[in-house]
Amino acid sequence: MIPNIPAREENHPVPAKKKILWVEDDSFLNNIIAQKLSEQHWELLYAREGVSALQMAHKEQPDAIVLDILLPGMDGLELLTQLKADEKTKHIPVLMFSNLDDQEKIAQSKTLGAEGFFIKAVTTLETIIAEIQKVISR
Amino acid sequence: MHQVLERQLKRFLGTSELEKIPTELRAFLQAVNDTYSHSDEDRALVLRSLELSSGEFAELNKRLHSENEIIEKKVRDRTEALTKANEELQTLDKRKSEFLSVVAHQLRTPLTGIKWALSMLVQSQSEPLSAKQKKLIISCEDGNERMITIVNEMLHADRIGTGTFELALVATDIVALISDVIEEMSLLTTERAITITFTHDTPIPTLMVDPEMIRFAFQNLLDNAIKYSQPHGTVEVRTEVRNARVTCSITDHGIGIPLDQQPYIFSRFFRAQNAISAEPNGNGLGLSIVKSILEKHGGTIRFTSEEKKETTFYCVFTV
Repeated sequence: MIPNIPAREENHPVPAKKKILWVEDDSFLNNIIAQKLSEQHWELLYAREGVSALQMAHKEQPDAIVLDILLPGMDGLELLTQLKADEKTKHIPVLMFSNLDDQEKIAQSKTLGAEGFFIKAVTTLETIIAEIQKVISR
Repeated sequence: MHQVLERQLKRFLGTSELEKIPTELRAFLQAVNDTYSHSDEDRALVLRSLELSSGEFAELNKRLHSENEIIEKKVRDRTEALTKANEELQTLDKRKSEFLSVVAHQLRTPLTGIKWALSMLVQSQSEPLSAKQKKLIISCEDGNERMITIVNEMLHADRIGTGTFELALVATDIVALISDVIEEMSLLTTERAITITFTHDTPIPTLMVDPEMIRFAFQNLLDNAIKYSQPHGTVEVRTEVRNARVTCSITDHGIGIPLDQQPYIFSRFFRAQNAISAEPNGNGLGLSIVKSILEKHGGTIRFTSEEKKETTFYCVFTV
């Protein structure tokens, strides 16, 4: 039986939602981020650590990746290195977020190809959204 | 007969036999002989004395040398102990900084969550808050921001204190930077009805500074000026160039600093008594951090103050 698929107007295709992969191991922050980002009508993908983040990036090809530096197992900088070394994921813009105020890591993340680095505690959600919007609009 | 006299008699008189020498000379020659003999005895005595002294000196020298070796060993041991203690202190200092960094991160994470959640509550369109609820949430936001500031300042203070931060020097338009900071303070100035005026020489040369650090310093100084001003007061900010130096001054007409407490004003964790009364919520780190930032840039900070009248802080940069 052929499913009853509603007709779609040819001149107004429904744009695909932008996919944002957020890699953060703190549940408290993740709940808040999920609530806020859902208001943007983005598809939010979520990973708690590096290995699953890599797999998800490969499979889902997100429009942007937001990455915490301190993660269990592989840290954010190592994950960034692997993302940028892989042909299939190196084109995906990456924004680094952390509450580690470590100048060396900030410099390293820029060298490794991150589009931006933000200290979570002094950055508003609106700023985060604006930065994500900026990179996915390019 | 003394051998020297004998030789001399044979040489000059041809004989050393007393029987052949004229009688009138014999008494004289006896006296000479005695003199030579006594002289020999004296010399032997002196030599013996020298031998003994030399022996004593050698013994003394040996003892001194030995004591010197003991002292040198003590110095080496203590230097080694001090070096080791210094290395341990440096390790402890490094561990303290790492610990502080981890603690700051652990504190910042829930503080970030609270910050974001509160802002979502305040801004919610679908479930708007009552005026009373909004006021309460905004108070929570303020308290949360204060905690975030304390954590940031503790991190800054530690990094500046241990010298573990590097300046990212950039040619900076200091007038534009100060204008920005004044603009950021507009919410605080509005709340307290403070007027900030800003005058500056033209042109002011660009300065090689770390803009984030200098911004932090001016934020601190302006925050204090506003906080300790009377409501409806004015704060005057000036920037001028004199003799290859750029001086930025901030003047408030507020509570001032008591004279007996002025020497301590840049000490870590110190707050003047009248400042604590006026504004209980402070940690006393701000001015020590500002001083360290200025000095790291090769600049200086000083102030003049009269209690209950006026305070001016001067930040001086070399062009």
